[in-house]
Amino acid sequence: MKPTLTLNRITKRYGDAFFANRNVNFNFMAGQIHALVGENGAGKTTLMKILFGLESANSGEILINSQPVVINSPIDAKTHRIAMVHQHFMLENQLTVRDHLQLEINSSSKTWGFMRNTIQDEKVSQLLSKLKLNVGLGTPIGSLSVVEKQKIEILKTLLFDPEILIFDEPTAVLPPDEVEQFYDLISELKQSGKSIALITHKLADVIRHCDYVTVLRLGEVRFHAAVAKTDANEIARHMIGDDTSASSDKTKAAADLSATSFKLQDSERTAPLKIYKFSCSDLKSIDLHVQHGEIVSFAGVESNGQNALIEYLIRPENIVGPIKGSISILGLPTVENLATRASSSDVRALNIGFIGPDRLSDSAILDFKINDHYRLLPHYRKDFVLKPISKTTISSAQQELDIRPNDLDLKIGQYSGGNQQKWVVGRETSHYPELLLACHPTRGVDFSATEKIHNILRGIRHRNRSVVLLSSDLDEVLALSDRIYVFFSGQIVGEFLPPFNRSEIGRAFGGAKPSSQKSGGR
Amino acid sequence: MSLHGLEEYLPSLVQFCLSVLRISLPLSLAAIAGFWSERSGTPQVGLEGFLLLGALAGATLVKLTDSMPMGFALTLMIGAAGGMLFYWLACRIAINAILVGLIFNLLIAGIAPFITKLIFGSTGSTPTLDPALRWQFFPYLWAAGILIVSLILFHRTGFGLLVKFAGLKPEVISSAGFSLSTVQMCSLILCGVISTSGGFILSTYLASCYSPMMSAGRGFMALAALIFARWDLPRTFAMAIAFGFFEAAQIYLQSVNSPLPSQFYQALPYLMTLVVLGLRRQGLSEMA
Amino acid sequence: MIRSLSTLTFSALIGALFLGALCLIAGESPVRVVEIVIQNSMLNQEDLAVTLFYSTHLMFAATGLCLAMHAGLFPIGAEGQISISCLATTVVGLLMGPSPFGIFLALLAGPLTAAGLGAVTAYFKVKKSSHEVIVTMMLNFLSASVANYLVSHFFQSSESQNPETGTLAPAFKLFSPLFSLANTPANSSFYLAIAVCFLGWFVLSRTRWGYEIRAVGLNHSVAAHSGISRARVITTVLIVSAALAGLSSFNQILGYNLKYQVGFSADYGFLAIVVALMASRNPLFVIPASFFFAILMKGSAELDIDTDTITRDFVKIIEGFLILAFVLAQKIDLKSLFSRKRIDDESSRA
Repeated sequence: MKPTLTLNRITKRYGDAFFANRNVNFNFMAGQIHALVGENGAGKTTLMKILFGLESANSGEILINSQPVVINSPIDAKTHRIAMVHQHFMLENQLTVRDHLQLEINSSSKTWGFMRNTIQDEKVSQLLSKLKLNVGLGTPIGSLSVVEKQKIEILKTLLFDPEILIFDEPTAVLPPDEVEQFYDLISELKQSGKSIALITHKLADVIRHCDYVTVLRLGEVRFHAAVAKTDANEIARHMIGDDTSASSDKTKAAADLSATSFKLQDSERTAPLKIYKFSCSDLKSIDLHVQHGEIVSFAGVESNGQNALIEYLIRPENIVGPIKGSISILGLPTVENLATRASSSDVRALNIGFIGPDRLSDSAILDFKINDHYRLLPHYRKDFVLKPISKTTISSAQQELDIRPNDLDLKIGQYSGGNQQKWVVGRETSHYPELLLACHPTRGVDFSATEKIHNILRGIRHRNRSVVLLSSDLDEVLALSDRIYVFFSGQIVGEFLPPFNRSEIGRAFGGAKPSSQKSGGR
Repeated sequence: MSLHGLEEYLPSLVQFCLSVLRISLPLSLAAIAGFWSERSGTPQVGLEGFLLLGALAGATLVKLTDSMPMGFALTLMIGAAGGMLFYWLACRIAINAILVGLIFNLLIAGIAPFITKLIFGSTGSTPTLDPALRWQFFPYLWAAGILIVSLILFHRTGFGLLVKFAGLKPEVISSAGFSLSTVQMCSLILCGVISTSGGFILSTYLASCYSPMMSAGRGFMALAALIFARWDLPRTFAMAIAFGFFEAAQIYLQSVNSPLPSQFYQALPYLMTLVVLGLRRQGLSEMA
Repeated sequence: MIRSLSTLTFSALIGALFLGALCLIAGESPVRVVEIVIQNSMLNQEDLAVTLFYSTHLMFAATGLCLAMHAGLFPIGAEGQISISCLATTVVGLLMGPSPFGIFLALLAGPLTAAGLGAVTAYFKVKKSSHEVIVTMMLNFLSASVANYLVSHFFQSSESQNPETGTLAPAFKLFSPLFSLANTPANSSFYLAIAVCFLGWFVLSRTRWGYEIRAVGLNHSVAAHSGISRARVITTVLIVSAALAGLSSFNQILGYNLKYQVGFSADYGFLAIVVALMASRNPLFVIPASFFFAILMKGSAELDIDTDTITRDFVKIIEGFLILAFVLAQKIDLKSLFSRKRIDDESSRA
């Protein structure tokens, strides 16, 4: 069977060295659903944006029925009957359904002038009933539910009878009961001969509903197969880069180390982290604890709840209810009695360190120079009149992590991303925190500095303090952890103790509960 | 336009209403202009400058060409150019639009006396216009026309739909394949044209020459009307007329003993705006 | 620092070019215009005193504005804060009489009332998420009306036809004249203003509060993750910057006039914005910037007399062009900095 549309050797580069997509091939087949999976930053959305005309590739071509086509804008894409439903809805709450549909219709004819009720009510009501959507055209988007909003997005695309449909993380915002309905709709579309691409994190859905799967990792295609011929485990492995066997030695070594590390049963000191049956809008019944002298990992495919949890630990004021359960950090209750009890100022006043998952919105201000950068840690701004940071602190961080260039007069933004990360790690570990929350601490960092950062984390544990590690690098997680909690869909799907079974953990990433009695909890 | 006292007004209520409308003309046009700018996503605090520009250009060009229509057309073109300049500074170069508005006000206020001295040798006002040239009804028709055309444009054309999205969620426009810059440019040109026409009426119809700073804060009152009416066009127009009413009432009350001081009417538009702002329920998100 | 100096020079050059062109169009020699401005602002003691008096007003308000701008805010309420604070000082002084307690209250009244306006602005910003430009603009107009009303209905001086209050007793003159010149407005609050600028710079660059202000202004998300409360910072900075503008009452009332004249302010509040921008939000640079604009203010007053075509409003063109050129130059700088940053960010998303 020949593909309806082919993406051929698509390459997209930013700057000199960073490839968002590298020689990516991707096919759309009529009447088939092709899943595109990969970690955050793997290049999935970039690829589809290129197809839809929102980005332009540096090299490669797009072929429709074996003829090369040029797509420079969404209007070109629509002319070629390509439609895209974005992850973040292109909807405005204050405007009506009719407004949005009208805009779509205008876009193909580039209408700026008079519109004379160009919404053919018949066609629209046909589509509305097909999508089982019972809303008036004059309804403001803001009063629609999430499911209805998504259906409006789909409706917008169906107005032009597209042949090719791209869905970017469509089930990410849907409640579980609606997911089935969504896939029913998709398979109807598939049966009418459309070619569908689905960008998703949810491996269970891929196995159940999709026909083909392509795995992207770091911008390149790592794996492609018919879904019938593979399983979630294999897909997950390729997503996280576990294609080598050399790493199993590291796992063993790590297990040995954690067995012999010094652990004090110290019940007088307050527990670093205690979460008891915590639920909120995007998390369900989280039960976990961290003791002194251990490194605990929050693992899983990105954004399956572990990121949200860390954010709620640092910024309890951002928790959206209904709130249940309790959270206590170093003895400070941040959540209890159905409400939040502390703010980020209270949390940061504790002896903790925080390396955030998104450096630019969590951990680093690019315009700051090194002294101000260090002062982001409350420890360094205790006095009203600020003292300069001690030169030894700064230079020891620089030497230990090999931060380049050597010039200490630069703004943080003038360092490369990896070096920025090193400065963040250096800062957040310089005051010997009781509890370190480290999210992707080695992202973008070169190999030797990665080793050094790992040793810093181990050093914290050796001093009988604690680390919460959030990482989607399974090697890193296996090498460092004393315990691993795996997150999936806002819940803890398993707690793992050494010796770690790599494939079982990998399956847990895809949502499979572990067979033995190791589910998360006290 | 002077008011002579209580006795003359009771029988001529119609006259009073007309004078309210007349006083409101520059203000309502400025408010509609502000509507186009703000609704398309560009905050607009430069209406004062545009009004002055229109007033100055109007009085000067009509005097020079001895023709109202000619002066009007030229003034509108200058207004369009002013709108283009605003677009270029605030949208292309992306200087903070509020700063652009403030600079605009400052520059116009400074250039105006320069130009009057240069062209007419006068220390502020332009020479009086020939009363024979003065329009009878056209400004009312113009204002009504602008209102109607704006309503049609906004609610019934593709352009108006784009403006709606531009002010609320610009990404939708680009993802549909339209050009956001073009939408912003056209909106700001509209803003320039309409506000300068308001200034034109101020100096050639409500008065008979340009005098320094004659906009007297109307540009800011127009902004207040816009905010108070929550950026809805017919409501904005109504608010502008209401503010015109306050202004007329204030003048009238100066000659009569009233319980409320004239400063109250002066302050009323701004007080009302603050009240409206205070009625909102949601505070800043991400507030720790 | 180097970048802002070059931006300043660049914009000064562009501004000078435009203005020179305008002068020539008007038929005046640009050199002559400059000559007049300098002659009338600095070359004799009386004129210099007035210049310093203007600069004092500008320094107080602009320093406060620098603080607020570093927090990412753009409050333009200095004009109203200046008027209300001066009125409050005068009213309290008139009502309390020249006792030590009365003098003390009058001293506090100015900054405190202005701080009250700042608190109102903060309330609207934090609790109602209104834009501070709109709120402060409305407050400015309201302040003018309130001042107008209070003076004309309650405090109008019986000795004068002008819209002004009665005069305070001489004991209220807390700030002695500069250079021992009795008839000029300049007074020792000038030194206080200089001190305020230094203090402002110190607070901003060396204290914890100043650090929090800068962090919130640059990236309030990162600041929040570091435990800095955006609401608290915004509230305090708006109140403090308003109080600083309120110190103008020391200069105008307690140092010069001892009475409130309606409309006394020659747009000090608005010019303070221009000063703060030209000073690149650095309170130390506010000192020379205030002085520069004070020279323009004073020196241009005689322009319509001494030239044929140029009026005192010419100075507004100067101010407008200067700030425009300055902001343009900054934008060009920022653009090249951004493109470098973006490459770094993308490559770091491994």
